Amino acid sequence: MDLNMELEQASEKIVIHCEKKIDKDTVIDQQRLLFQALQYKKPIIIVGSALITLDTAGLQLLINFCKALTALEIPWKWENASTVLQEYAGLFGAETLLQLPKLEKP
Amino acid sequence: MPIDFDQLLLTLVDETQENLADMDVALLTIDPDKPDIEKINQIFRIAHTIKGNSALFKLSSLKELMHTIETFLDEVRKGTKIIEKKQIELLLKISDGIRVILTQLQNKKTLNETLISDLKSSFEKSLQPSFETNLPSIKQKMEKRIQHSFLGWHISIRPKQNLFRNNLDIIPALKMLAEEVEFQNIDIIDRDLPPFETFDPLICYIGWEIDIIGDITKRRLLDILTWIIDEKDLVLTKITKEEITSATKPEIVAAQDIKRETPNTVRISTQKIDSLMNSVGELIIIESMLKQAIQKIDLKNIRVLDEPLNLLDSQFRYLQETVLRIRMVPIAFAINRFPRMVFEISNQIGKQVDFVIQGDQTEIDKNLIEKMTDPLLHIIRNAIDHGIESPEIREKIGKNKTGSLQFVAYQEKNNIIIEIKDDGPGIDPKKIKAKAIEKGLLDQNNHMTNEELYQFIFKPGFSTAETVTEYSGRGVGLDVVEKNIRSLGGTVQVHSILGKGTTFTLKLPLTLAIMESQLIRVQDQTFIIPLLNIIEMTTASDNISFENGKSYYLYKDQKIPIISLEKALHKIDESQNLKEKIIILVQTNYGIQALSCDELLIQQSIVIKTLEDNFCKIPGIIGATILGDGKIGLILDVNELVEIYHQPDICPAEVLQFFSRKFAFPHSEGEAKESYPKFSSEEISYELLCFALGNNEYAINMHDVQEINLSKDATKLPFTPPYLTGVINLRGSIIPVVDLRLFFNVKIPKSRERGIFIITKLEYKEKRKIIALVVDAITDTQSINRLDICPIPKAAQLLLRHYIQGLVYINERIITLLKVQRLVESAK
Repeated sequence: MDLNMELEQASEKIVIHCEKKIDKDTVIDQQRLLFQALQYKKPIIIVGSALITLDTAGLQLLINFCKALTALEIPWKWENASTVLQEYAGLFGAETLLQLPKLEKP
Repeated sequence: MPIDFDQLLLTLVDETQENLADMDVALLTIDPDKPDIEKINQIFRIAHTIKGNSALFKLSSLKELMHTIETFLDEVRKGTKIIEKKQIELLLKISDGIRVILTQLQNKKTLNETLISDLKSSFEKSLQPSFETNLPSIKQKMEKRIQHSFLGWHISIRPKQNLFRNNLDIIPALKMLAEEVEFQNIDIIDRDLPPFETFDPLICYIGWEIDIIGDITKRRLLDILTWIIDEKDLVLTKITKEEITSATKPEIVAAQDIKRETPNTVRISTQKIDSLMNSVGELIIIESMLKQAIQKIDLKNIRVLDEPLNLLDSQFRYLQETVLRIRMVPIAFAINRFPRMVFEISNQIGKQVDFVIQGDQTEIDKNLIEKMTDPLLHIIRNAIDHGIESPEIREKIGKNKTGSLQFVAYQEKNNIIIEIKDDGPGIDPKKIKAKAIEKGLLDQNNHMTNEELYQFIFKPGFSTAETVTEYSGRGVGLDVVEKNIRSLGGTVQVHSILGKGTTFTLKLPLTLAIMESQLIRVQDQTFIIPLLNIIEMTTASDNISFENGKSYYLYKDQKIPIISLEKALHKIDESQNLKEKIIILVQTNYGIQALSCDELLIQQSIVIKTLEDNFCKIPGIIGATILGDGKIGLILDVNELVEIYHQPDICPAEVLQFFSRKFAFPHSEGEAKESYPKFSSEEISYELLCFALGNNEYAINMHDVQEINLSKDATKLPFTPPYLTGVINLRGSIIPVVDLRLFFNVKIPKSRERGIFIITKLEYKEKRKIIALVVDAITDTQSINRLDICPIPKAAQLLLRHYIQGLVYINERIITLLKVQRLVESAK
């Protein structure tokens, strides 16, 4: 499933809406789109509220994307990261790399 | 692909039985004061597995019980609860309860859910918080215990790059691990990630470094992780508190260096193995048929066949050994519940017994294991009950209060030897002799060795026990034990020293399937004697003597009683020409006996086939084999032959029950009411196979017919009625032959003496049996409606009307319809 991309002209931001799935079946197309987003060199907001399926390939893609954003000094942040994304990030040690806020342990 | 639930159930039942055996062993060795966390973990995992399996088969009460046990054990390993003796005993009872449920599941019977819910209530009751005031001290004990011990693991995971392309994903494995242990620390290693624009998202570049805290074994870690990750991609490092506080370098154990405890085994159904064994058996028969056929050929260059035949021979032996190996399992499978049983019995009767097993990995045929477990159990029960003294008596006589009971198993050539030794009072041969004389089994002046006297304990009703307990003492157990061991082709000997102890020694063949044997000829029939039994073979010559109507063979200054096989099996008195016979000295439970026969044939390995697949047990006969000429050779049971040799000529009840001839006259009230044939409501039309018996025509339902064959000579069975003409070989199966003409007292025309075989499939005691019926000739096939069947006239004086379903009138022919199934219904 492709990522939707939205360019907000007013604030000159790129908003990337994650769809339901980021996994080995979708990562190739998603990498292409994310790479395009990097070319704008504008601040990026990643909306992760719809994301419910994430595997190791998907996690790796997101980690490398966030690394690239940091390396290119492009400001970015997550908006409304889904519970699955936050849980996985916490459980599998990706919170720092993805710069997601830490989940409080029950 | 649809799931075969029956096969799945079978697998799960087997697996659960093994788990329960492991659980029992763990429970029996837990010390409530110092519980071993590894054992608690092991029992926890078993409970968890059973919980999962019971959910699969919707056994909700069992699932709930396992959940209760799991929760309790989790608290124990965390140190918030203690395990007491009462919980251990209840867990053992629960293990038994689960076994009952498994048996019910396997036999598709109604499950006893009340049993499980009762056990659950008992277990929950035992967890009443009366001991929770001890919690702080227990927790301290637990904490102290783990202070200097193992805390957890550091795991390094570096998966292979092609992980995603192989459709594998690490996240589920990590999730499963997270359910069992706490992740103290987890870091993703991303240093190998290439720049975003050039990286291939289907290649795995990341790894993990994880610190876990929890009592989890290497094996469990590997179980969880290696179904996704290769062992070589894992490094496991132990973390211990002591090592951390002393800041020494922790031991690194690479996963590939860890020896996996679980052997690389595959479950194979015994049905497949049996089919394979049948094929091997057929090949051996074909080989010997080939050898026989070639002997008849007169060719100049016959020696060229030597090499291929030798190769064929060695290949067969190799195949035979390979297949046998598949069926061989450690004897531990039979005896894994013995420690539990010894524990319970000795507790209940107030004795202290140290039970030691040696050689539990000795391998034996799986079929043998299933049949020998009960006899072994009985000998052990007997040993505890009567073989070992009470602690008080033992102390008084200077023995250790705890008695010793040893189970030793080892292989000796083609046999397995099992010794069960106790250090009890031993068997008093004088008491045995006195009891034998009292029971009329022994003459006062008869001198026997102690070993010969001890054999009397295997006689029915023979017991010198002063007290009868629920476990033994009535003299009804050891005779059955001896009979069972004998039926497996084995022997049991007793050796005892007064005051020191007794040893029961069982000698059994490694496999029931193939046996080394000696072929012999008695009259015109070939019989087989297991080599296991044979001491020596010789000619009778002048070493024969006669006393009081019995004949003896002189062997090493001993007079050995002669059993004439001609007399035993063919009812021919051969005493006049005994000196021309061959004498075979055999070891039996009654000492050495001499069997006389006409000729010694070859020694060879034979494939044992049971007669009970399609018939029943015949006295004096262990089973049968198919010889090189396609005929059947009967395998002699030398022990049973000795027993029945002097008995009058009677047909055994089991044989008569199998083919019962029921006689009834029509003028009895009950018969008059039954003159109308009964039909099942589903049978509307019939296909009939019509045949001639004498001057009359009969028919049977085609549904009961498997095939029609030309008749052949049957191998005569001893101790059977005349209408049972013997057994034949039907494509490797041994099936009985009933001559219906003899059964119904019909005169056999000379021209049709041989008759025709109708091979029928009948049901006997819920098992399918194949039986050959001999008739004069096949006449016809007919389709009829059930309304065409008329009842037998009331006035008809038919002795065997029990077998007649009715009469059918077709084209001026009267055809008697037989209910052939009634041939094998047991006599009431």
